[in-house]
Amino acid sequence: MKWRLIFLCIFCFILGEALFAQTDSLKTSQYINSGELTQLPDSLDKAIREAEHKKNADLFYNLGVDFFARGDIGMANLYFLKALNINSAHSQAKNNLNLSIRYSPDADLYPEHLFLVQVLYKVLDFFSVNRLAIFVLIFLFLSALALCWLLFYDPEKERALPILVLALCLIICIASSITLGIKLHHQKHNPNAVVILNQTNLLSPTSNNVIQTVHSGLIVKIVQSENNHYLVHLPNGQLGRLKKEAVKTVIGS
Amino acid sequence: MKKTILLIMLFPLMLSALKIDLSVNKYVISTNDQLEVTLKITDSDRIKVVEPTPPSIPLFSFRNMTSGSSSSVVFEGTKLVSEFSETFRFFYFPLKTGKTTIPSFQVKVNGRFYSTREINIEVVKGTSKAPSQSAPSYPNFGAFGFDEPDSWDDREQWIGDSFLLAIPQEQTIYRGFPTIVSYYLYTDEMVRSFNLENEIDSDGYGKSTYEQPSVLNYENVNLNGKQYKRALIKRLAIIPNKEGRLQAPILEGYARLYRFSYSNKTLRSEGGIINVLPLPKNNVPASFGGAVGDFKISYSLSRKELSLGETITFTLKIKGRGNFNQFSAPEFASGKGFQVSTPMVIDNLKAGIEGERTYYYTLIPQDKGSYELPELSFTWFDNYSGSYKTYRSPKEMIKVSSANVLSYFNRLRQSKTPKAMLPKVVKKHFPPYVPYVQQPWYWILVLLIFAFSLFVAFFALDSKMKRDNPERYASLKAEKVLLRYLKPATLAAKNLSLEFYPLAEKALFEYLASKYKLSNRLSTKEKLQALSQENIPDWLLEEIQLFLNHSQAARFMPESERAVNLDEDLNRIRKIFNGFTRLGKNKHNRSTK
Repeated sequence: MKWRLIFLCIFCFILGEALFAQTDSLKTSQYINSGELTQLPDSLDKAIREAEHKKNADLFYNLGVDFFARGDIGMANLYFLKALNINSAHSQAKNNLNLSIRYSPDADLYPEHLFLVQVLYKVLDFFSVNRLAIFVLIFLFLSALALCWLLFYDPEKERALPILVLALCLIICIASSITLGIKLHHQKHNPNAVVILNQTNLLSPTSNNVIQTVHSGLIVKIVQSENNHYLVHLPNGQLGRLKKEAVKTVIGS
Repeated sequence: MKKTILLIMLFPLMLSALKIDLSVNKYVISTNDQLEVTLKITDSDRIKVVEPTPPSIPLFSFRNMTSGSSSSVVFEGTKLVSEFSETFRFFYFPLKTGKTTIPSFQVKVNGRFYSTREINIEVVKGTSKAPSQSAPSYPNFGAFGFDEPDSWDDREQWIGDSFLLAIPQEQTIYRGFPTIVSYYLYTDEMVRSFNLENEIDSDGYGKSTYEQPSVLNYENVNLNGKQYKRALIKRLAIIPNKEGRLQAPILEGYARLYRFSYSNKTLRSEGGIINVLPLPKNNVPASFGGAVGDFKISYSLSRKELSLGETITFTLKIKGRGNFNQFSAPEFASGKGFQVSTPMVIDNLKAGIEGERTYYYTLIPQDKGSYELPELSFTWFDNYSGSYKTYRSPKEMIKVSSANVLSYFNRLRQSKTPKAMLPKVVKKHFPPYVPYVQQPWYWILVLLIFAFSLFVAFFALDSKMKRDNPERYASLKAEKVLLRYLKPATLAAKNLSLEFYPLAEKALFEYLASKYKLSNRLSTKEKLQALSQENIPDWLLEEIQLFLNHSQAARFMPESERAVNLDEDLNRIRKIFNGFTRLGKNKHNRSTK
């Protein structure tokens, strides 16, 4: 019993450090007062290089705020998306992106999701890659403990409870692992891109007919890359082609 | 009564903000002019309009149509007022003089049909003269104006000249003030189309496209006493960033002429010289942040009384023409009692130089009481007066009361619909991002958990066997002991060491002790007697006895015989252990049967 307790303490100590580190990086951001709006273009260039090198969500977010203050909605949305790609639980980036979308000329292209779908998206966003990794670790450990409980359970008693607990822990652990794998894959192969030109024409997928005009900041999903065009899905599901120079991808530097 | 019911039924429609307006540029139009029919649909919500078919107008020939959409969102107090509009423009050429009517036609808006009004038009013979324009900054050309047009069918027009002229809107401007340069094609030939091929830039300015028509829209002008037709090719917005004589971009392209057959004529724009003056260096206000333009500033405040937890939206509007892309948001002076967010910027600008920019600041009160709103100042250089101007927001007193239940709910509602841009995150250190799953400590922990699980499972299975089948457990334990002791005994036998006998003897008694719980305190004879009571076969007891005798004798054995006896006794002890193992298995099988 004593050894088990010691082992548990050591495990909690190791795990605790990681958990607190996660909390720290997500929640202890301090806000500056107003006025820190603009930087010189040179420093902005430097900031872009630093952010692309470090791939830090806060740095991407700060770039988004900078570009928004300059009125460049396309680049602002791109950097907010880059921040969310690294950390989907980045609440400030989510807030600013929503605001930017709300006031964009293409706001009506974004569909209004059902309440339950919105909740599901929020839950998925809350579980960022790092949070999911910790979640998997916790439930793996709980599964081990549940297994231990089951194996040392009094044979005279009904074993339904430890079996249920073990099954639940294992199911959550496996589901979290699968979600983590999908999120990691999405992080590396994010198909989202942002229109960066003030306005550009969305061409038909099969011809050069103009379907509609789209504006800076519109978030599209790249389906396929062609010679000079991307085949894209608009947020409302409309399929069309956009010139490659009109959009920037989230995973590109 | 019926009328009243009808009015009540139509009341919701009257409340609707949907407006459909049909207008024309002229009610009396000359034969050399063109008719522009504008259909504008506006609503407070987003609208879906099916592109209308251009109406057929007697005496007119339809030429082309354009369409556009716009939207604006304005805070009026706490209310968000939005306007969305779709505009369709139809262009017609008059064919004959006379009176005609634009017939009513249907427009489908948001799935419903609406009819336009009829408009009466009169076409007269072209005799009107357009007002004169300012002179271009092209040294060889004087002022020009509209004049009687000549017919395109006139053969004399077929031999003539065509050229491109760049005409800046202002010839002398201050550095940073944007001006618009218009590029016109002047011709007295039959130019059917113009292809723009190249734009040659020089130093000292930034540029953006202000307007680029898709068709050649001719008007008649008089230049240096000669009649020309001219059409706008392009308008560029130029923002000078260097003082002195500035050359606007030079456009190159070719005109496609018709002289019995088609031919191309390469053209290059001339003119476009702008004198750029430096900004005065004296009396520059401290708050000047580089804004140059012709601006009108206005502000609005969402409320003056609020509770803790609620916010105020301060809206600053900058309207006019200027270098909007080269200045940042004005800052509030540091004041007591409010935290001010980074402003949200909404631009409604044409080519980035003309239109309206709106800054939305969110002010959050930090304590209850009456506070003076911090001052917001914006300084710019006015191009036309040649002086610096400063706008200061008027002093406003804000009353902040204690938080209440309503303000709490307001905050909940506000959190759902964000109204302010959140500021940047400030940290001392931004570590590079490496997912936890790509870090070694993560996988060490996973391995530890798996190792822990395996250990626990093994231990639990062991305990389970001890609990459920103690005999089998004891047998397995005995076999382990046997293996443990027999190993060194076998090694000693191979090395012809006399250590074999004590090791084998010890292994045998340890095994018997663990299997039959025989005490080590008993003598060899007593142990054998105890074993005989455990239903051990006689041959096995005899073999044990024989081995123990050999063990006793081995202590006095000559070295030459040792090899033969050791080998024989090693086989014997193995036979004994196998006998016990088989005995155990038979017993186990019997018990399971």
